[in-house]
Amino acid sequence: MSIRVRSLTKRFRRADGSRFTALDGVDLDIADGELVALLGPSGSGKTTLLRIVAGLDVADAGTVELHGHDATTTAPQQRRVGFVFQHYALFRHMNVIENIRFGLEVKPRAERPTRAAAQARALELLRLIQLDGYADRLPHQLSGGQRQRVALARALAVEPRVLLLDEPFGALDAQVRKDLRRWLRRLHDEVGITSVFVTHDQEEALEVADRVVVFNQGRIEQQGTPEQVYLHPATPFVHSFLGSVNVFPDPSASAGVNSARYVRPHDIEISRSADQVSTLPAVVRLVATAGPVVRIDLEQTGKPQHIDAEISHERHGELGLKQGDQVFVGFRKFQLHGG
Amino acid sequence: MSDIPIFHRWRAQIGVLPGFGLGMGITIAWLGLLVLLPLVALFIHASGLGWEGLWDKLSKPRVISAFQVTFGISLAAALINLVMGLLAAWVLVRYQFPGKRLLDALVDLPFALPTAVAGISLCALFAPNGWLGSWLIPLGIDVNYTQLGIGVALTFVGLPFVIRTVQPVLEELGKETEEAAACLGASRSQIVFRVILPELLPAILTGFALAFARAIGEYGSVVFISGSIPKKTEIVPHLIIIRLEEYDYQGATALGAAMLVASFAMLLVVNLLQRWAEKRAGSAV
Repeated sequence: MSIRVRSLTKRFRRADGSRFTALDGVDLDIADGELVALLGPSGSGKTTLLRIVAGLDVADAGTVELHGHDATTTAPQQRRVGFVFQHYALFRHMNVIENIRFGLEVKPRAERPTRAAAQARALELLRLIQLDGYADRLPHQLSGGQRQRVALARALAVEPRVLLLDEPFGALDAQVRKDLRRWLRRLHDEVGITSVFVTHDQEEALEVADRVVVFNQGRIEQQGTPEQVYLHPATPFVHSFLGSVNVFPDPSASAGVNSARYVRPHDIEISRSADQVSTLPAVVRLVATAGPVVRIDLEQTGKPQHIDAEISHERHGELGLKQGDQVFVGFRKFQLHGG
Repeated sequence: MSDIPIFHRWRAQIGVLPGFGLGMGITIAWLGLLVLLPLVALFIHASGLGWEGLWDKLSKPRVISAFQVTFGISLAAALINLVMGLLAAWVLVRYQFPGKRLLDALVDLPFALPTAVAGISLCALFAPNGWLGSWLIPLGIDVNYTQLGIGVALTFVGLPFVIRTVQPVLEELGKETEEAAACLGASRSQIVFRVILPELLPAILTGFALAFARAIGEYGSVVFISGSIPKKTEIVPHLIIIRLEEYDYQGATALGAAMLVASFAMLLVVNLLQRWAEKRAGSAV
């Protein structure tokens, strides 16, 4: 086991003096070679957890084990953990190759590689991040995506046993984000280093990670493969955080039980006439045809229930829906969550 | 006129920001009136002496000593301010403690205080019956009427500069750069000397240059504490006053012009150094 976190708790004092619980007794295990995403809204504790694992913050209670050794009070310098920051945190006065070499040059004399060996290692990493020829550039001469790759190479230079990435693509443009996260996945498969990254972007987590850990209010809501958390969300929070969802009161619920049906927009069926599936009368409010699917906003007749639906362009062609049309909707699939 | 290619390029550079002509015109007129005109007058007046006359006025042992005292002690004071200012900026940015805002406001006091008041206060402190003098004089440390006294006064007036230039850069540098270095295995001292100080270098040089320039031109706080003993504690600004009191206006302008040239040369060197460091850090300070 690479990382083993037990009942980790951390409270912060806000500026107004009130206490805020960032982590509330969190247990987490991360196996060797895994690529894990910590996913959650801001303030859910994911970054705090990452910083405590790196030794940059100290927990109020709980333990951190790295590779079987208790590291709760170990200094960050001794943890052999690579950390990548959202805003790169490159050394501005050093060029690219100097940034990458830094970790090798500050090693104690006995472990320090020769100048030539350090340079060779840095050049090798430069190739790995596909920035050969950029060795002499200063950080401010690079784009955001390039800077983050340099930050990654700098972290990898010292051969850490764990790589931690805090919102690594958070400051980048949408297209660069997409390219870079796929590149990170390939890099992980190539290097094989245990990696944990924090994100609030569910698409990023689901696409890249082997395992997704969903955080909410300082606790872990659910963890599992991307398929597990997306297709079988364990809680209403996970359901609504991973993609949009419609919530309907459950008609089969007995009195006193507050359960609801959670339906993804693409599981909504629309038809012109009532049938076995489509039973709820509704009015079309808006039709948006631009994009890979047609998005339709509906309102259930006689109720203040708003419905988001997504249908294929083919289905839209058959139905020919327009604003104000009377239709019937039903659910192909739904999940029950107790209230 | 707009057919001339250079004019086209010039216009293109100005771009969309309005008011270039007016703004530039007023700025140049203002700087010319306030800075350039008096300086030109000074040089014209001094040139009346001719090279030989100028050399005659400046080569006197008393004058040379005054220059040595002024520039030497100003440099020492600026260096002390560099080290202490860096420490103070660090403490004010990185730590939270009660009374921080008060301490921060205190830093600007040497800007606002009339320098004569500062000089008299320092003089009283280091007098034989003063708070500090009563301790130091029995130990054989005389501050009043010595070069040490000049150093104390110049350090006082130059105090805010390094602090105020380094503070915002240190704030912007943030904790992350240090944390990144720590994760890479850098020790505390390696972080300070290989990461933080190089990043702060342009700001440090700016603060140093300002403190140095301020010390060279300082008069009010020094005259009280130095005692102005010729060839020992006499500074150039005071010597200029003495020349004026002797109705030796040309002598005074000669000193003024020489001082201006020397200060300008030194500030230029510091400025070039700073420009180089800035380029290296890739940030405008």
